[in-house]
Amino acid sequence: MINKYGKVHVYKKTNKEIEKILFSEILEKVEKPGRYIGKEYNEIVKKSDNKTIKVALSFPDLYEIGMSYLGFKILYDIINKREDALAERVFSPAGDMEELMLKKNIPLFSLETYRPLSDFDIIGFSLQHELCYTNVLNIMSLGNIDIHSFKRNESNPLIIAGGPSAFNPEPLADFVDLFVIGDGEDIINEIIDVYQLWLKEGEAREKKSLLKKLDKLSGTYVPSFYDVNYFSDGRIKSFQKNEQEVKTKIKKRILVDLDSAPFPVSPIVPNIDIVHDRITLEIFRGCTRGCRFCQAGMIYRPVRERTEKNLLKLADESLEHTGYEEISLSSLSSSDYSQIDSLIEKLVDRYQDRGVGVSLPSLRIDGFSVQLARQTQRVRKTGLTFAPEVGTDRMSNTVNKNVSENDLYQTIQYAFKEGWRRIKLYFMIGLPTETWDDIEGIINMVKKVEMIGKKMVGKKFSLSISVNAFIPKSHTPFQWVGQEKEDILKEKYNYITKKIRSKNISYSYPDTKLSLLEAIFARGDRRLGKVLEEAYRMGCKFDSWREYFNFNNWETAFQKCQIDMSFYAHRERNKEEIMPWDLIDCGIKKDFLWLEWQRALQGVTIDDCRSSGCHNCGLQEVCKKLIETKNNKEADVKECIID
Amino acid sequence: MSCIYRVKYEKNGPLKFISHLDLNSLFCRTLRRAKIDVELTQGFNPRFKISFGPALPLGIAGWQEVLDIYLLKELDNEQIKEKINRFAPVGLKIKEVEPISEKENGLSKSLKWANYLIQLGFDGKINRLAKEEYYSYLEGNINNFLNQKNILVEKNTKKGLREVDLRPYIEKMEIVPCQDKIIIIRLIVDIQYKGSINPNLIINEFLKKFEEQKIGISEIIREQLIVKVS
Repeated sequence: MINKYGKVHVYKKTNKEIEKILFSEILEKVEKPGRYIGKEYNEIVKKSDNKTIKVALSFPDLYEIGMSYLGFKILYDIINKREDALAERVFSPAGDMEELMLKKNIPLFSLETYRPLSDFDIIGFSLQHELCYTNVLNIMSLGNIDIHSFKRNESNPLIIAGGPSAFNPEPLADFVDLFVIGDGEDIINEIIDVYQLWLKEGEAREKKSLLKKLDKLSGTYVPSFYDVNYFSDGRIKSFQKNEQEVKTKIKKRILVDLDSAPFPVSPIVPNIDIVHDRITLEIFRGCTRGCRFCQAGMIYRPVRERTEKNLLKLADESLEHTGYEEISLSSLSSSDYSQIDSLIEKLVDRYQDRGVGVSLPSLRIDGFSVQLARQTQRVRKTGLTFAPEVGTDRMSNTVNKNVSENDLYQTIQYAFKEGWRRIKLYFMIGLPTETWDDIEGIINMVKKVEMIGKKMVGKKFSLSISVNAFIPKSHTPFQWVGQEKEDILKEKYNYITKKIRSKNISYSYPDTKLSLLEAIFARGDRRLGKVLEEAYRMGCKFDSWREYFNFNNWETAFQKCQIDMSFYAHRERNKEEIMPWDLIDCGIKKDFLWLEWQRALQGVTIDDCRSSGCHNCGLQEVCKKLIETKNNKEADVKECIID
Repeated sequence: MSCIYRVKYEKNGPLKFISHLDLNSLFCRTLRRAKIDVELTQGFNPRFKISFGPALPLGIAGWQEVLDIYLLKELDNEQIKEKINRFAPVGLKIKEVEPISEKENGLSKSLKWANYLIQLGFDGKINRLAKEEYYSYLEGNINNFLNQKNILVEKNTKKGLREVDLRPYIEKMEIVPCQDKIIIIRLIVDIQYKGSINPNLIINEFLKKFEEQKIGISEIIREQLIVKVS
């Protein structure tokens, strides 16, 4: 096997050999060796035989990033609970580690048993954003696995991928065998069941027959079963099945009964500091606020809550099994949880004497949310984070944020009054219909917040302002619009920098080249596969990390492949255009998204469907089922009481 | 009145590669799992009241590390040990627990020396004869090394390269007699003289003389921390 540096692997190393080399020759030479060892509390190491399906859960970023994701922990828990399967973890090694691994000739391995990646049956990638794609290829390559799916056969691991970025799977179509769209809790079991059945076919079994069987499941997408035709101007003409019996549409999986779904109450407690080093208690999934730029708000619909009673139990068990000192109440908009005040009160009352804190990830802009935050600060004091996103009421209507300038000022006043001195605000620029007035709006807003601070608490406070470029994403009302050009974005960033300079304010914004790359892949098609491969062969990896990002290489890769970045990032698409992700049905109708785009242009807002009634986004049937499940459950409870 | 216990523990295996700061949270979480009630510190962010001994450099195992914990109520020594060990991750093991009085506390002040064992690695194999030759050869060199008035080296610090004199840190350096075909040096360093020093720095400086023989460090262990009896 020859890797990307042309190095020949002489023979395959066993896990024992890997462990020995790791501990005696590698760990003392790398930064943060704790990333590569495993052996944490609650790690699951299972015995296996040839009937055990071995799954490598692979996160295409560093250990401390990957270990912070709840979805990763959920799948680890579900798979390891099965008798006939096991899950182990694999992360991207940092540059120094990769270099040593190649030098010492050891392949990428799992943390649980130091098993070489190529020894697994299934490798499942978690795709959280588009800038991790080079790492996906690099993980396969470091694991001595061919990156192209057509070159892999039944003796190689099956490569699957899921997560939010799988909602536009096309840029990875050449490399991934099977995508999983939507909630993973049920489908992971179904995939393993199918795999077990396929194994029983014995020696004659073929990869294609496995893929066909997996395609029968709802929520799976096998890109190699479809061909794409293009117009001469580059737009997609059609998707064509090359296998008769495969699906015409891929419907995302929706877990209707979140409350009964498995939740990992004994997650691994890392030995080293990670990004979110606490219990992540998912209080609900989905969000129906309907911000028009937000992909998560569309693809995770509908809203499904866990009951308060269940959450209290899960919190108790999680604390007992991990010893963590903090619980984060996680969701897309936690102050929207129906019993949020009572939940926080109960959690804080229960744990404050033990020095266990409760935290909310980000706050809705209103007094109620600050009140909630105040409740949580009874144990630990932190800063407050708000995301006004825009600086004018006009733009707020366009993006359907439904928060006015005054809402923000009142909330900020209240926050200062309640004793906070560190406030963080998130904004976005380059939104559709944006003018320089909207940029002035952001500047005025920041200045006014600063003024409020000065008036109320004097000099001792800090404001941190983070401004990002809007990136049009698939499955959103803004999926048709072009991204703002780099030079204008730069001009806007610089203008803001000049205008808001102050002792109290720190200001950050990303590299515009990075935003460009993200925009290209967010709405790209499978022709980008060759660019991705080219860039990765030139050494691109960890693109979301400033110290690794190398745009020159990317530019060369695009030129070599004769692919125009602007075609993907900047071009406005028309209503009829076939989108690369049109095979993927996220439940929301394209008509609804278009209608929302038109409303955006007119500055018309719509309310959250939980308060205003249904907007017919396309998920009505699921919502009906949700209500039925809920009613049935409540009826069950009543019956129990009567009994 | 808090109940203070001095805990002697081993930090080994995978935890050799865990930093001091990470060990702190790892230990606190182990205590929470073990349901041992530790006193909380005052202030904005209440933490467990624990004082750790001097940090172990990354990659070095400790056989007899020391920390003091402040418990809310009195507990049996053995019970504390067993409870923590039951909930500890691989690599952390409590060896001994004893109550100490309020007067005895101030861990960093009472620990005077750190005792390291350094196993030397050779590029080639050594046979018995070669080992004995090395023995006296090394012994002489240790004496020469220690007879220097200053041992000046450049040290990488946050503020850039800085010159440090290693000699005042070295309390003792000797060859440990052992049966196997290995050579072990015992190094005792003063940890109260301008903070602790990384033993790698001293041994690497010493081994500079043997560059041709390609002798390197194969493993370092901190055997124990020694309290100065006044």
